[in-house]
Amino acid sequence: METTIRQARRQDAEQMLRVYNSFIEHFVGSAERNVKSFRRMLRKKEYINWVSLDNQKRVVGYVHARVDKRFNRGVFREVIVDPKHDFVKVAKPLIERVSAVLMEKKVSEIVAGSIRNPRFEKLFPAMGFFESESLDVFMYGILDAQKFLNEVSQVFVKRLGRVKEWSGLAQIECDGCSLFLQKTRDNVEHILWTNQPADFKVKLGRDTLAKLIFGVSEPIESFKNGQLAVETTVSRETTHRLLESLFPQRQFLVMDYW
Amino acid sequence: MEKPVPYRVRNYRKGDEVALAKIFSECFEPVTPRKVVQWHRIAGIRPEDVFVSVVDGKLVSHVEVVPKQLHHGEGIYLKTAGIGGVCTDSDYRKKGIVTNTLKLALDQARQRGLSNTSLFTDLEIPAHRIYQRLGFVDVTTFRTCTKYIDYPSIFARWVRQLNRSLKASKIAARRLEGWEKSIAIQLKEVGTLSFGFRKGRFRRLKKPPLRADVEFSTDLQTYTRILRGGVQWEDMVKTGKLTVKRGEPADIEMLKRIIKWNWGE
Repeated sequence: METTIRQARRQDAEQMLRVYNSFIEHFVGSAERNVKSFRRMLRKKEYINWVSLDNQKRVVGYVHARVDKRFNRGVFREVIVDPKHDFVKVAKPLIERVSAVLMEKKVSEIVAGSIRNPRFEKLFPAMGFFESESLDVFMYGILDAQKFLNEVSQVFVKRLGRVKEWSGLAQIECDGCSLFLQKTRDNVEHILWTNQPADFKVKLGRDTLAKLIFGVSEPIESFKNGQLAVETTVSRETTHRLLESLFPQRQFLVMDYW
Repeated sequence: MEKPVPYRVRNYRKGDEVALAKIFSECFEPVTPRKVVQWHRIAGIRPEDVFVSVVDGKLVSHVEVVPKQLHHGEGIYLKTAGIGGVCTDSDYRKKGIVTNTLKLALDQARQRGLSNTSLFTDLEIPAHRIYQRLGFVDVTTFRTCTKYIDYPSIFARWVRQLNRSLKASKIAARRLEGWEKSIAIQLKEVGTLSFGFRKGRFRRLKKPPLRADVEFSTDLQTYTRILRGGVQWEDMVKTGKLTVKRGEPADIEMLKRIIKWNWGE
């Protein structure tokens, strides 16, 4: 597919937001944004924003960079491509163009720093960048287990809805608080409470739940090493299948710092 | 923990930004009071989201709660209490002040109906253990891609940055008192770069000294990874990626602290 690139304009904000939303849907951890935040990003003169357009002049990707004057370095803050398009093919010309803009500004170094962006790992080293880890860490804590389970219930409703050939009552118990989900052949319902025994019950602590939600722990591994307990009558294969469906491996990706 | 001191925790008030800028400059990076106010405005932080501890009328520690919405999968966003700017004046550390201030901030977030909290920190600072004790878990570390265009100028800026950090850190100034040494770093891709510490200041040495007190050689990537804390100096020595050519163990220890700017604060 042919793409063209140009500098982003204020009126691109809506389309950039659409691309951002579809990109981060494949990850967990990123913050929610609105058109206002994109307009702010496009308004600032020190920001360098370029977009890639398809043959129908729709935005399919963008790069947001800036010059950090204190360190005289160029920083790629975001490289976002619509998942329907090939990441490398759309992103590479954008990065090359923005790199040239940064070089014109006589920066001493260029960095790309989103946290654990798996797409970066393929792209930037091939363009002469080297990767380095740091000791900076993102930490997460559950303050109120019952409220958290209620809030996150829709995530599990959607995930359980995709499970085929299993129906029954599922229960996720975290530190004595529970989330009940009744799955029928074509529906999953969040139940506030029931005295019925669950067909599939997962017991886990807050730490394990946080790690599983953000895809940094593997559910089968957590089950094997006792961080997660399962009470069920179903076979081992179905147990593994249900665990993998409830806690799929999703790449954690944060785009905003605070 | 040292002897407790009487302190009070209150919310931010107009005028606190002057004291906050001083503490931020010591703990993070040099900032002005205006920047503190600007940050509050941009991030949408209200005075009731900022918790400060006061000892004898002096503002000594700070915690802020930044409201955010994080993607928890399947297109579902949950409100999170983003914790930021956790810091304490170096004269008032190890007294439990910031731990209790943070506990209070988290308690208030819970009362306001927030079910979860998150923050960014460093794995090697004492605060990391405090967060773990308060129920935070490590989710992921960072990774950066870098391309150097003019490394000598980056090095010169780094030395200037060391002086700025030194000006703001009483602990570093105390530890470095009387330590007057020169360091030569041989980087495969760039050549030899050197700096020294003399009369309470770091200085970049335009010409490498004939016999530096500490001399080591490595490559740019390894040096960057050490600076960013991604790898340990000792591990790089063991794997042969870094070779110490000269230097007393005490001087090397001090150099490691300077490189990582870690003074056990």
